[in-house]
Amino acid sequence: MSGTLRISCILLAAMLLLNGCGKANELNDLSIVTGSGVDGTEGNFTVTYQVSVASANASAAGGTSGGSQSGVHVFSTKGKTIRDTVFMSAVEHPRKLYFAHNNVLIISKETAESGISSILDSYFRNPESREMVNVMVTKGSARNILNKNLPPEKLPGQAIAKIVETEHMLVSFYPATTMFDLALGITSESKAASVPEIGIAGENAESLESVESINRTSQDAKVRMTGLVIFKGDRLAGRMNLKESLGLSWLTNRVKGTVLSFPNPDAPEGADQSAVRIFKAKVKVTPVKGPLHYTIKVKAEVQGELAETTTDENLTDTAGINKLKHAIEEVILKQMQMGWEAAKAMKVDILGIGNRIHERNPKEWNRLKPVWDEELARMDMQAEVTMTVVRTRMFLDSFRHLLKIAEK
Amino acid sequence: MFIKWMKQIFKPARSVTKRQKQHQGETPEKKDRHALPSSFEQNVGMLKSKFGKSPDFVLNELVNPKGLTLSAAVCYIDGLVETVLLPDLISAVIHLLDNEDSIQDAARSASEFRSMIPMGNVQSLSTEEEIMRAILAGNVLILLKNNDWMLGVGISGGVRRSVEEPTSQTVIRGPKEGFTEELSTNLSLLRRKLKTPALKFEQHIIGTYTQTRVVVAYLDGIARPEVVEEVNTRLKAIDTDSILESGYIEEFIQDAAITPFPTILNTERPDTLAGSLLDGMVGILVDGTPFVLIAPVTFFNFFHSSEDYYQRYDISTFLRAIRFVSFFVALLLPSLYIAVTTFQQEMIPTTLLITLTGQREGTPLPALFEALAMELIFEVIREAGVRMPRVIGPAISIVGALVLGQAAVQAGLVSSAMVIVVSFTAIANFVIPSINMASAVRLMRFVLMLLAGTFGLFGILAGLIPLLAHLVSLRSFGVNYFMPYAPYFKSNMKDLLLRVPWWAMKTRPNQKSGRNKFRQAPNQYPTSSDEAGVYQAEDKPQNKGN
Repeated sequence: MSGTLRISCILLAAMLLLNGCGKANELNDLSIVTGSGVDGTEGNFTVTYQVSVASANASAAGGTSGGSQSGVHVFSTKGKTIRDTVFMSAVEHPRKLYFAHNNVLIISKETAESGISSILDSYFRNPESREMVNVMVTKGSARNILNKNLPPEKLPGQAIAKIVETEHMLVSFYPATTMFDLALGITSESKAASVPEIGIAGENAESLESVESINRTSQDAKVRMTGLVIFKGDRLAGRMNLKESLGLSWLTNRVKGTVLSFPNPDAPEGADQSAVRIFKAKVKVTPVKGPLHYTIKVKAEVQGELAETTTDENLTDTAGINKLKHAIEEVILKQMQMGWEAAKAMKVDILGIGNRIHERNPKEWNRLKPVWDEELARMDMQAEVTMTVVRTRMFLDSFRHLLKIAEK
Repeated sequence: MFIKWMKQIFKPARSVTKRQKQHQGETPEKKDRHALPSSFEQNVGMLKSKFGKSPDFVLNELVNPKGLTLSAAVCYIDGLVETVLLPDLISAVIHLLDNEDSIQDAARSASEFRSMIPMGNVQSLSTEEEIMRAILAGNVLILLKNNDWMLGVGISGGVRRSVEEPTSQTVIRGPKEGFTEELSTNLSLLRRKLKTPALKFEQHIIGTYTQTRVVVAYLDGIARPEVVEEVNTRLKAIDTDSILESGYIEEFIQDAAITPFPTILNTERPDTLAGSLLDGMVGILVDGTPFVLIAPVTFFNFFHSSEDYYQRYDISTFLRAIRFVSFFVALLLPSLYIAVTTFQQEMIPTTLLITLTGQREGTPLPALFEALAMELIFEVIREAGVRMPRVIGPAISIVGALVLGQAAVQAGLVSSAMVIVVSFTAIANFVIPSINMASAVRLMRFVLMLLAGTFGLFGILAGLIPLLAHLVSLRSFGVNYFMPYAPYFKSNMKDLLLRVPWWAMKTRPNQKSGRNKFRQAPNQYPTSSDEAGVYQAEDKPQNKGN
């Protein structure tokens, strides 16, 4: 055997035998994390992992049929730092945790109140964890959310992430926030970011921890989005309910689509309601310097289509449509006002007004920066909404109106 | 290193080889030619001594109807001549000799006598070598008294395969005839497609024992003369025992020996050959095989089917796209699967990843070995399918499909995703129209799989870049293998990944074709019947009401 031939043979053998000595991981050596949660405070973290159970998720033949098996396995480890805690999993879990497909990170209120900078640092420093993960906050412990099933979904972590995303697309009550958005918000001049809150509604929440819950047609309790949590810096500053949160969505131009109910213009008591589906909204917030303090000018251009109505107005006429339009504008204005009041009460610049002033006039910002909290409290909002009802969909006058005509 | 070692094997020997020495004594036909003796008996003895007691050797001495010997003989090899014509020929010769006694005595010249034989292809043979070649090619020899020449009458025949549909390159639309093993049939098939005196044939006889006729075919004025000359030079340089198939020639004359990629195309279809000649390529037809070689070719020629030119151009373009996609699938799919599932799992969408992990649960082999094993099993099944007797065919497909596919998955030995990957790869491989290109892809697939299993996507790239560099460096008779791309010729893009309509294909491929660059007249865009005024005003439907 010549020298070169020998070397070629060694190379070939090395390729065959040594493959996987690098960073190769066979799929059956990995635990795919579908959701993770952080409890505890600095120096005493508990991290919870929801990992997918591979054999339960094999849809085709080969594995056991997944009906009676839980799709995920949840376990927690303790440690001083986040990374230390994650690696503690090696002493109790046979597979390597794989975070690249983590869908959701749930932070407990306790942790959020004590500061999340170490979580952010751990996320941005390590390439395994992705900044595109959806961040949420829960009142209780994160583990309590992660170990609940979301029937009929098999992977609760993925289901939660999907709820957040779908909700943001369809109604925009609680804007979805990724780890990246959160970090961007709290490091900006305004030092504020919002994160959806998740919780459990209903009685007997433990029943969701069992795989039997998937076999039942309805649940006593369910995991759902409950509000919006505001961060100021790396600490939790306050919480908003649905209406305030929607107002905030308007003001931060994060409405991708929503459905609003509004009173019929001809029946101001509020008994008769109509609904409009918003599909396009463009909101511009401009801080305007007044003689004493800043005023926030909000200009919104909203487009929508009539989704449901009981009005007697003549909808074939622009005048009738215009009346509805004004009613919708008022509802939106009211919502904006609510969001503004809530944000003001929290003394958090969640609208990012500070960023705007900093962009336009850095010198002015340097002057304002030390007294920004007081300045914020003195601000007023002047909102202006232009609503366009693009179409009434497949029907013109309301059904009720048609009935009345028929009676005559 | 490896390549250096390979080059040592393939190094051309410069010194006189043992074979050449052996031939210097044994085969004198190239040096001095054996002239024939003028004695009839000596010539008969010579033939008998050459063919001995071979049962297919026939030598009939002729007698006239009165029973007198004519001192003449007819000699042929049974099975190589057309037996229907033999009685006519023999009786004609007897008649000729019997009536004209003087013919035998007078020293008539060969050409004079030749014109008296009532057959088309008659030649006079004056050396032993010519005689041997003639009788073995299916000529009937006519030996005459006291002449130092013989006549060879070309009535070769015997049992041959008829012109059938080609089996290796099938089309839906297009001519259904294929080349046969008979060179003259093949030449006539080509002549029927290209009815022009510009179609030139140049014959070589190669192989000491097979004496195979090899014909170089080209279109004068369209093919580049340098290429024709180079093909002829390379063919002349071949000195070997035997040429049993055009594959022998291919290996002797191809540009690069150390490459899995073919630089010479082969085809069974006369229309493909005719089309290639019209593009300026040169065909090499070999007696005894239906596979004709075509050179010079580029990488992309191996992905073209003759049907591309018969179907509508838009459909052909789509089919070509499918073929190039299949090429990448056949080359890369298993290695990408290995790389992505063992190294870059983050690239897989979450839902797919979770399904894949579920499938891989409990499979004992690492992904690389699983893939290698499945690919090897498939190659075995495939080879068995080619080799085995046709009768056993269905058994193999049952064993292959059921036992190795379904049962292996159910037993948990391989993941079902892997079976899908391997089978799709295998099917994609068959989309490549040229078998030898498909084989090259098969070979490279294994290399890339090993690289993917060792280094992941990085390994695949580390394999693909040298592979591309190698492909670009290849040449086929002076034409770059990646010709219209490297070097770039814009005009050739019309018939590459795309196939533009015929009226837009004005020029022939650069670098391949010679002086005659233009295929057709310009401005042949089809005119619509409205523009052409095919309908007269009164023909148009008129709305007069009622």
